[in-house]
Amino acid sequence: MINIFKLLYANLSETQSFDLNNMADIMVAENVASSSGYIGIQALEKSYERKDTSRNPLYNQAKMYAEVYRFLGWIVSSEDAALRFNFTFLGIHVATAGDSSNKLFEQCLLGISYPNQILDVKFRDINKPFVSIMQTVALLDGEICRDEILIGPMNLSNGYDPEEIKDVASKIRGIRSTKKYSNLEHELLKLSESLEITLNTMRNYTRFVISALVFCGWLEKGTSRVYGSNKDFLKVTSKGNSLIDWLDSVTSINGDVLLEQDNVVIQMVSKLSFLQMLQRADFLVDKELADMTTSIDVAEKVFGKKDVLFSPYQYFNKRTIRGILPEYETDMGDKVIDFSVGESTSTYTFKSDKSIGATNAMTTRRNSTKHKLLQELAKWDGDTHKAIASISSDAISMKQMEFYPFTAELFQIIFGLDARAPQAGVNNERFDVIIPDAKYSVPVEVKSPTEEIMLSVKAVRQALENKVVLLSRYSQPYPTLYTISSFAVGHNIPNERSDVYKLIEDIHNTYGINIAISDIDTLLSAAYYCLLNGKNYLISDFSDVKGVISFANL
Amino acid sequence: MQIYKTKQESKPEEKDYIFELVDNEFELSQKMDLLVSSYQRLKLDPNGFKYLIKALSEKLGLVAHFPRKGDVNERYDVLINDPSGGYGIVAEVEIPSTAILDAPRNLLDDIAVLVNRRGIKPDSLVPLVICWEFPNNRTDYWNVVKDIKDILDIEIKTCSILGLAVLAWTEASFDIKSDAYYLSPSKNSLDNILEILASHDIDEQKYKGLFYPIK
Repeated sequence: MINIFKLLYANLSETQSFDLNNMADIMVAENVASSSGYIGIQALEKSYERKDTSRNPLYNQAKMYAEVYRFLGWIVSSEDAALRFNFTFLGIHVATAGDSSNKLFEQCLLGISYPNQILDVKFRDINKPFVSIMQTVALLDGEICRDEILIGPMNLSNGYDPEEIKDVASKIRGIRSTKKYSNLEHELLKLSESLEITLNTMRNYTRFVISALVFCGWLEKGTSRVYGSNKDFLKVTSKGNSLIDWLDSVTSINGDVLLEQDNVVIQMVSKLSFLQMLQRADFLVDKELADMTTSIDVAEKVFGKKDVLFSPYQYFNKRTIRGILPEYETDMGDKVIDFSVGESTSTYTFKSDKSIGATNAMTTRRNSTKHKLLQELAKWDGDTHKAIASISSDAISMKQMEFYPFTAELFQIIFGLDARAPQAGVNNERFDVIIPDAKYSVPVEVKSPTEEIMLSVKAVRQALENKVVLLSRYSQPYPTLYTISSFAVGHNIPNERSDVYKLIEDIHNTYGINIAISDIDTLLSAAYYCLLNGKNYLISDFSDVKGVISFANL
Repeated sequence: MQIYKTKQESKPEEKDYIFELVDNEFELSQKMDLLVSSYQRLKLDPNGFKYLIKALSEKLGLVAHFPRKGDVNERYDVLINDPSGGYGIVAEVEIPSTAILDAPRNLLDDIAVLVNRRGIKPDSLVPLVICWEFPNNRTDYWNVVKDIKDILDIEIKTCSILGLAVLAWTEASFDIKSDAYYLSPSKNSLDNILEILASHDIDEQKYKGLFYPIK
């Protein structure tokens, strides 16, 4: 399972995200998955003969692996779609750790926790199952069997409560003292009925658990006569005993409890716990940990001990992790995510010195954004600043599918031109939004807030490429001039120290191409200006305009 | 983003396999097979391809320079200098080639930064995309390369790792400025490398996708 993960990483790490079909593809290409007795390309053909994905064996193998990798914290669902994945910072370490990846896998088993932000589960248990199993074994003379695991440490209302572990151990001891295995089975049946899960399904849940416990060498397979006759049991090893002793010396943190703390504490403890995980798995992080004395003190003060057991990538979703561990952001490309919100527009280094003028007439078009703008304005009694703030804060949760057409409609209002966002999946037009004009067409690179909060150099690069492609391939449908800007629009634009502005200058000086950028608030102000004054801005004014767009009269 | 190393990885002898891949006594076809079969290992080693490209560059008489971490003025993946020719190859390494469509625009960025911030003359820079496998014909990569040539008159060259290795092993001349490495939708195979293979009686069919697109 670890090896398959490494193969997936080797083949998919450069992609922005991947899905189950990509995973099935790689597993087949690497001959680690089979279907109908075939391996390789033939397996793929056999498996994908079935149109219904729920019956496609390779797709389902990939799905099973994805599920496991998700609760191990190695991959995470993208923000836009649950079935598109990214490798996490933790996953990258597993993939590239060579022989140490097994040790990191052990840490990840101890890090599995419910509930969490990464997987929706149907049960309400609060538990770190592997920690609870080892703690229970310790109270049961170092041996436990499958069905005992199910009624005991995998069925705790709160695994962080030592009393509950003791209770469950004494309950199992009680059943053992009857010397009848049927009594244990009876308990299991009761549980199965109360949870409405069949016995077989419940027992299947332990497959991964037991093989992982044995793989790590914490428990080994054996037999025991505690129920009178010989039964298959798992027995604790000396490595398992050391683990049990170690678990006593650390504080195991429940993510839900951590979240009740201040943001600073959450950040400090998350980083500390992640680095401690790496340290236990033999990574060279001693220097980083030596610099974290404040965090260690905070952990001790809040949670009682300096050593913490918590795995942030197995608890937090992608969006939260970006806020908590921004230095470990793993998005592709230039992922410069700057959380400080940009300063007021007048201080931007590369604000265009030329402002865009307005016409005296307005071309009106029906569009739903216009309707929304007017509605908001009425709601705020004609205060455009409040209306803009309200629409802008709604827009922050917009995904590509909503944000692109929204931006296009703003451009329709501003320029009176038929700006549009090609439908998702229609790939023959390469631009996120195009503003067509008989002479001055402009391609627009749009970044939705779920892609990046603030425009990055990546968007500027794409705007440059858009201009080149527009001139080269689309001079017929979308005529333009070399000097007309190419746009990049994001929810926010970066502050003046950002490399974005330098790059715009670099590009202008090297290629003579103009990149103009704007945040959504500026476009909203321009749209309101047009709506309220019956005007449009002139697209022809975008000749030789680079940097932050400046609309006249705003 | 820094990837932490394990204690194990810090042993220097671990990198020896890369030098053995580049410098060994095998026949050309055996060298090629060994390199091809080492793909997984190289990819899973955080610095695998970096050291490989460094070693291959040295064998080609070139000097590879990797950017300093955190320096936004050095954004290329590798800058390969020719000590005698007075030109530099500014390269993006795309392995695997799934995100190769980003490479041309990254190169335009790399060049703009080197020209405007470092005062390097544009015509002394040769942009190169180093890949393992060639992207398929239907990917937009080839079209974008052509668009850039048509509009900006910049030829982005493409070469595979195995292509560089064959040149290094056969001591063939490596003239990156030549048309051989400017691949576009109408001609996207490394014909000069295929000729070398033919002259060594090596069946290029064994290396589908590594010198031209597989489909």
